[in-house]
Amino acid sequence: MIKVCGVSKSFPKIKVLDDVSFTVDKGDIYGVIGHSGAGKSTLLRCFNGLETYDAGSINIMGKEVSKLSIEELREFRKNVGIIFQSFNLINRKSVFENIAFPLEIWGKDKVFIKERVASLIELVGLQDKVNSNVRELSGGQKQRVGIARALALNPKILLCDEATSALDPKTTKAILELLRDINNKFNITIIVVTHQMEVVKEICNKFILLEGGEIKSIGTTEELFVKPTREMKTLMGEEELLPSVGYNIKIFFPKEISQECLITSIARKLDIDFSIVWGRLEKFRDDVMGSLIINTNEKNKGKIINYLDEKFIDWELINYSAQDEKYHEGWEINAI
Amino acid sequence: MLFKDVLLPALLDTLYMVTVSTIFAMILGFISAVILIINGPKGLRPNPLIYKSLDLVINILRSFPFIILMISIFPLTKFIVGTTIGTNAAIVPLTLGAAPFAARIIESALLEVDYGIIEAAKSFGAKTHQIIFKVMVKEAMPSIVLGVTLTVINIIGYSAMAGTIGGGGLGDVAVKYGYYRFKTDIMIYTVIILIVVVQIIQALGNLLYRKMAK
Repeated sequence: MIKVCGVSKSFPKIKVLDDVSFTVDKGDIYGVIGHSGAGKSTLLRCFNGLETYDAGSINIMGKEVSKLSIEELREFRKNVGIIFQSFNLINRKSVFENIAFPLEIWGKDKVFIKERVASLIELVGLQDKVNSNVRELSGGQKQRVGIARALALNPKILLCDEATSALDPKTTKAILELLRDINNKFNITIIVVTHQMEVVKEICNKFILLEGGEIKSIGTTEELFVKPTREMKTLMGEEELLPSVGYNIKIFFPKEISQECLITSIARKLDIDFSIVWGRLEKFRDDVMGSLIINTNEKNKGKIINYLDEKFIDWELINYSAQDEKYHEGWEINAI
Repeated sequence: MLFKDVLLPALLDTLYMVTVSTIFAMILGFISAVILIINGPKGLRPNPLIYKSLDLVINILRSFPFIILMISIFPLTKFIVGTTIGTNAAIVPLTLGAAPFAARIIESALLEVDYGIIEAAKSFGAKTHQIIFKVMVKEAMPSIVLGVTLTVINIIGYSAMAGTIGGGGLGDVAVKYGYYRFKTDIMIYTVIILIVVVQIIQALGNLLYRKMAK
């Protein structure tokens, strides 16, 4: 559906995108996450030609975006809807007129527009606001109008540029649910650019992590949340504080295992003691997944690892030296 | 019968000159503003040559003191209207004097339109003229209305000046009766009438703006 290959872009003083490559399949909800200034919005805007790129290729549905003529680009944009952080609705038009706008541009007749807008309004749940002025709407409602407008021309791809960043958590969730619904119902491919981890966790099946215009992590959402890379941890603001004596074993909990009594069964079956020193379990849509770090001595280390291997559970020995200093600092403060 | 014979016809003359030249000035101003917006540095199709030339012409016209502009375009006025005296003749300099002002005001109203909205329209495949008329002008309408109000009031001021060199209207009366014949009362009446007219126009403009901006 979308093939991004070695895309680079520079502004006079900085490199915004650096050799970015990834592939989006039809029906994916693909996340692009990163801090502000990581180049993620620029990347997204290259997808519908609002922004150009210096090198590489962006191939969407068989078309190279940078090679389209002005007229071809207009035609192409019918297939690529976009919603924005600041909604970008026409303030002096009603909800109906805003949603009808793309249809008007393409010269659809009035009867068709009326029907199409009515069905879109129902889809986003704004039946009671049809004739309201968009100024009177809340942020969440405005984004619903934005979504309806973006879908008006029946696009195959929906781009979301920080679409929930201006909304409160509850509204964000509702909008994300709507996006997932749309993805299910119409099999529209959705690209989500965001700095909010929750957004990726909530709806994306795959994602890339951008930093300084480069891809730092790439993979399925499950994979990256259960086994976050260093860059992911930085982005999530997580750093484990671990004891410097003994051995720290990190046990990963994919969704099948999180329900089982793994920790207590280790203790019972092997008849050993260990302490749980760090943990992170989170609700990941309807599943619980995450990791726990246990601390043990050398003798028990082998036993535990054998046991985990028998059960095909992923583990990792954590090197604490990197955290040494931090740990001691924390410890000293506690002692005082 | 001072009012019926002198002031009322003068008021009607003024209103006539102001209305017609406002319409012409707005048309000229609007076209220039749209050209500036399209070709401007952040425009839809940037073209520095067109932008800078028009920008220069507007600045030059705006630098002229109105009374000088009026006299220096006498030949043009004569060519268009056939005479340089009377209300019709005054419309030419009034239009030319106010058009650059209107152009700047409409240009700045259009520039105020949130760039994100323009980008959104682009992403749905809107053409340049659709972006300008269906998005920018639509969004900028309240500010344009305030701009028109300002232009009208400006033209009223200019029209009084036009009166002094045979343009007719309230300015003419104020100068002829009030200044040359020392009829202070008539001068005061004309000033009062002008104050009332300006008040009404400003109030109308504000009312319309509030209604539109809602």
